[in-house]
Amino acid sequence: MYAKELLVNSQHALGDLIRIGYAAFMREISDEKLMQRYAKGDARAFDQLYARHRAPLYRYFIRQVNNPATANDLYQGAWEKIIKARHSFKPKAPFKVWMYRIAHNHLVDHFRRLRPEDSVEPDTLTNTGPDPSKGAIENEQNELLRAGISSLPVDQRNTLLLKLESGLKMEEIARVTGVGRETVKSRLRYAVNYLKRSLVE
Amino acid sequence: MNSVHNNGENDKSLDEGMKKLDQAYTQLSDEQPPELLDQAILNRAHRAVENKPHWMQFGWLHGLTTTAVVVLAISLFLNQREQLPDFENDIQMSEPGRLRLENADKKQSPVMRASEQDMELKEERGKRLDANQAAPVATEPQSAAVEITIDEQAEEAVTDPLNSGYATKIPQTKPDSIDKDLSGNEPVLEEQLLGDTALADDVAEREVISKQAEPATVTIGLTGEIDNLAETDAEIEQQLQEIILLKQSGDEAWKIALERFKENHPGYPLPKELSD
Repeated sequence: MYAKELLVNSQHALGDLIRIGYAAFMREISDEKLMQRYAKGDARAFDQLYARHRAPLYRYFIRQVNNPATANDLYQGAWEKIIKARHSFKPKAPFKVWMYRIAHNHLVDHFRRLRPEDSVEPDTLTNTGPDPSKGAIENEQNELLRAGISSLPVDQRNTLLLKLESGLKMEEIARVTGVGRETVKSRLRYAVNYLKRSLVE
Repeated sequence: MNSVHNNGENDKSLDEGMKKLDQAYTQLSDEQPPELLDQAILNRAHRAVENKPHWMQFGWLHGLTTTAVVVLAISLFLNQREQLPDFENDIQMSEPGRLRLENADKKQSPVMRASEQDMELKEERGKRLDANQAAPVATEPQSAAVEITIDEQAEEAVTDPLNSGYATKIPQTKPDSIDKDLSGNEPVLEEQLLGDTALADDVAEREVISKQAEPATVTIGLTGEIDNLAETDAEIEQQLQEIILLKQSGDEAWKIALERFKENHPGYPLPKELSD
């Protein structure tokens, strides 16, 4: 009996060790290689990739639309597009740029589908803020910042969130959004100045 | 200079502003996607990889099949190209050549022809044997006529039995004489008649036979090789029968004919009548 339990326990321990070792190995691998591995059929590579980018991408969507249900739909739709387009990924381009480009296009499609009366209005976005119970805990500055981001024009908000959430460089943001570098810089400058003023006021 | 200076200042201010904004932004509540959504997306991703299309599971087979089809197509194409010039030649063939080919097609195959000739020869041989048995006396007077025909035609028969017409010559002369014998005419009279007329008749008859044989040689010209092969055992046996008949008729020419036969068919088993 003892020998059997020992054998089972050792098997579990060995399995855990292999998993930990594989996870450590995966953590060391770059996004691009993980995506390549996933495209070749390694599902665990996608797990690692998803764990790395799930929160920033979700925040990118929820702070664009400020509606959890819509954000969930957009978030799931964007990942499905990434899964479908796995074979078209080229390792020469950074994975983040490729992924956020898909997400950005998905978001633009969503805004285009909306009728003019359904379009995101700064006032409504400000009103549909976070949970009031949470607001009590958060300080006033955070609330003001959230409201300020939501009230930004779509292009400036999009550019700012790409910068804050993904940490992409200006050139990379330009590639994601399909505009020039100077346009990205200009949008960022306007957004930062606007938020500065709103926070100071 | 001023614009460059201004740009540098703008960049600095933007960088400072972004740093402050980034610090403030990190203090915002960290929203996370729902766990159910995470699970749904991960399941979708796993299914997409696990459910490979059937043809992708046998990628090597797909490649092999494609290669085989390409090779087959190329070989068919090359084969068609090789056959094309022959077809053109057939079209451009001269009128006489085409007619000859058509005649050759219309004619029976060499084997069929040989079998028909064999049947005819058998019938004639049967008639001749009956005639020999029925009128043994008539053999004597006929010897002169037979001698003439055999001297000249035995050679043709041995060298080219099909085209010589020799096979059909003897039965045409013998039944006439037999009929005369049976009808009561004296054989001596026939011998006398034959003395002058037989030679003339014989020459005329040979001309007729050669004329009959000519079309065969013309039409068979294209298939000459096959005709040579058409000398079947039946024909050789027929030649032997001719020699036996000569021997039975008491003509010494049978020895010459036999020698020629042996030269042309060395090792061919001879019947008892000739092997003695």
